[in-house]
Parts: sequence; C-alpha cells; structure tokens
Amino acid sequence: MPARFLTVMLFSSALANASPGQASAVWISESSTAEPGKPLHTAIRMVHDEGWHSYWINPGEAGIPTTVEWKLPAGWQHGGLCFPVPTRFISSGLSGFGYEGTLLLPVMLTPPEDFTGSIRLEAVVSWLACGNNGCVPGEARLQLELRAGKTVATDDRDAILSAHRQVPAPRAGVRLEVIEKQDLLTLTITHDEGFDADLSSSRVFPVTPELIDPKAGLRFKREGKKWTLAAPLGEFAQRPVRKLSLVLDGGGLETPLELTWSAPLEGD
Amino acid sequence: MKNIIPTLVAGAFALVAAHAAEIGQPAPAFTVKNLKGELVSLADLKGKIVVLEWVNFDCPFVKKHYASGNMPSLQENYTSKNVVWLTINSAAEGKQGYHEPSKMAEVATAQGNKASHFLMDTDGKAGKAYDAKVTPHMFIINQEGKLIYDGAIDSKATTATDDVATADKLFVNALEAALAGKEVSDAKNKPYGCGVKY
Repeated sequence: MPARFLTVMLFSSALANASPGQASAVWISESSTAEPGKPLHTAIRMVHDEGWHSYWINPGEAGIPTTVEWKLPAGWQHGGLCFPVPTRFISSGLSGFGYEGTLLLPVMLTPPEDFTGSIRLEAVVSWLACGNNGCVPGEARLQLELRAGKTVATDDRDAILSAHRQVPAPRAGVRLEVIEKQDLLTLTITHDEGFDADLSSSRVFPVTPELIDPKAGLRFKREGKKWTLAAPLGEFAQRPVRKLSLVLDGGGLETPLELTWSAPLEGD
Repeated sequence: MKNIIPTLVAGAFALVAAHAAEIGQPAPAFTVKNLKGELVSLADLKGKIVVLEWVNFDCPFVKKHYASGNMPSLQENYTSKNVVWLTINSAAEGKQGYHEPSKMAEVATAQGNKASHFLMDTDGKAGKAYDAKVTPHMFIINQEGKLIYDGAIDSKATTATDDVATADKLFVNALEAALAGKEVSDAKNKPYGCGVKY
C-alpha cells in the first residue's frame, strides 16, 4: 500500500511541472465590459512550459500553427486570430518559426449592436508544442465573460493594446515584388519618398508556408532606391509562385511590416 | 548578381545540402541491424518493392497512425503482397523514442507493428542517407532499387486519429502504383511529423 502511494506522489509531482499540451491558454480582454457594436481588443495568452515552443502561421520545416475554433453566438464578430512576429529556432535539426515563454495572440471582438446584459463567449484553441523531448498536441477551452457597458480598463489592457500594435501590418507606399527564376525568388521592396527605414538589419520571415526555404538566412540589401533579397525556394514550393507574404521586423522599423505580392492575373 | 545566401544550419550536425536520395535514382544503400541483431542490407532486397517507414512511438503523429490501426494494417496488407516493409528508428541513444533493442521489440509488438524488419539505425547513417526528417516519413524503393516515393503517409498533417479515414492516401496511392507497375504521380511531397532525434 505505501509503495503505491509513493508512486502516485511521484507521478503527481512530475505532472505538476508540466501543463497538458506543455502550455496554458486563457482568453483575456482590455475590459470586462463592452459597448454594443464597438470593437474590443482581446487576446489569447499562452504560457509555454520551459523548453517548449508552439508554432507560427508558417511553422517552418515541421510543426502545426496554433488555431482557434470559435463558438460565438449570433451577432458576435471576431477579426481572426492574429500572430505577433515569431522567433526562429532549430528543433531536432529542423528550422521552425514560433513562440516560447509568454505569448499574446491578439483577437478583435465586436459585440452585436443590440448587446445587453452579459454573456459567456467560448472558443477552443489548439496547438502543437515541441521541445527537445518531442512534440505534444495541446488544446484549451477558452471562456470570456463580458457585460454590456462602457469599457473599463483591466490590468491586461496595456499589454493587449501593445500586442495589437505589434501585429505585422501593411504600410501604404511600401510594395513587394517577386520574380521567380530557377531556384531563387528575387524579392524587391520599393517605397514612396516618405519611407526611409533602413531594412538592412530587419529580420525577415516568410509568412506563406513552403515557398521560401525555412533554413535560409534572409536579409534585404539596398540597391539604389530599392531593397532586394534573393531567397532560395523551399523544397516543396508550388510553382509557379503566385502569392507571397513576408514579415519584416526590427532594424529601422518602428512596428512590424507585412508585405504581400500577388502575381498579376493572366491578361493583365 | 549577389546570390550568396548564408544558410542557417546550426547545431552539432549538418543535414547534407545535396539530397543523396533522389526520386528516380538508385536508393542509397544501407546495412542496419534489426531487433534480432541480424544485419539487413538493402542490396539483398533487389527484385522486391521495399518500404521504409521512419518511426518514433512517442511522437503524436506516429501514435495517430498506430492507435488508429492504420500503419499496422498497411504493414500486414502489403507484406502479404510481397512488399518488404522496413520500420526504422534513427533516434540516438538516450534521445526521445530510443529504446534498446529488446525493449523496442516489446514496444513495437505492443503497438501492433507488423513490419518485415524493425531496424535500429541508432547511429543515424541510414536516416541521414535518405534525409529522413520526421516521423512518420515514408519512402518506396522499386524492384530495380530506384527511389520512387519520398514523402508523407497522407495529406492531413494533424495528430487527430479521426483524420486518417478522410485524408488523401498519398503513400498508399504511390505503393499501389508501384505494385501495378505504373508511374507514381506524386512521388515527392512534404512529410509531417516530429523531427527525427539523431
């Protein structure tokens, strides 16, 4: 009897250090009250166990991006799950993009025009956590309780607003062009006069999976008034390449930049 | 034209830059011990269709295909059609998914593995020769010893057992084509799974 008790104790203490799915997730909001028809800044906060990471939109050579299944009642709208700039890592020799530690995934939420009283919103977030000891799928049921009323800042508001500002966004007057030649994609950024950020030390991340080799180090170089980069095609890139998105972060950029190129349609 | 791209390959080992295993080319040779301690050599299997299945029983993507019975039933079905099925574990000693041979034999049996041989590629040589990246990663070698498939078990890169029934059977389609003497149409695609723990 005592030996079995000891086994249960050891098992429990091992579990105490590991969250199911090696991360925890909760749905947080800038305010616990929301005004009808007015967008509300919320976020899913994930805290990864030490040594474990989850994945970005483009997970890299392996991995699965975090996704959310929304269970919102009629009239409630969400702006989709947004992803901050990832970090790149190598895990079991495979290059990937994702997150460690504490992560806020921004979500805009808009109550219906006739929102009154209170509501409990639900969603399920799913992820894959990987570390040196392998991979574990994770899932968490999320709940967010809101009452109709003027917004009142919660303790999380500053962090949530900051996370929303840091979601990569396009910038008027900054454009991406892509030319495919043999096994390289020549990426060219052109910009209007006002944009003077030095992109040479910006980190570059391919958003669109498979198109660019995840192992490649990417750095734009100034070429007169343009910025160029020759990126190796990914092993499983579908060709011809028709659409490509990039994220640039840091260097001379105040906030992360998202650039998207689409191939002109036939006959353009 | 400045085409010099620094490649980000860090760590104690480097995956080979040029693929040793190319579709349509002779499949890389290997000789690896099975769980009984017998040497199994690809060269001895010429004249047969050979399947290579990279495995790690602790990986949730592998568990999906064993818990659902999918992988064992493919092993049983195709070995009865004279295909030689080699399940391969390339985990280094002490890494996740490694078990010493007698323990691995217990685990494999418990999982229902019905491969012709279970190979302990503990030094990773066979894995690296094929650039086996994840588990499961599937390869098919034809009777002439040429590599004719390198890719995923199926089309749904998830850990959910429910997805096995509804996924496109990429590997099975290739194997059926090989058995029928037909060309494999989707010979190289992206495998999904946990990184091989070399």
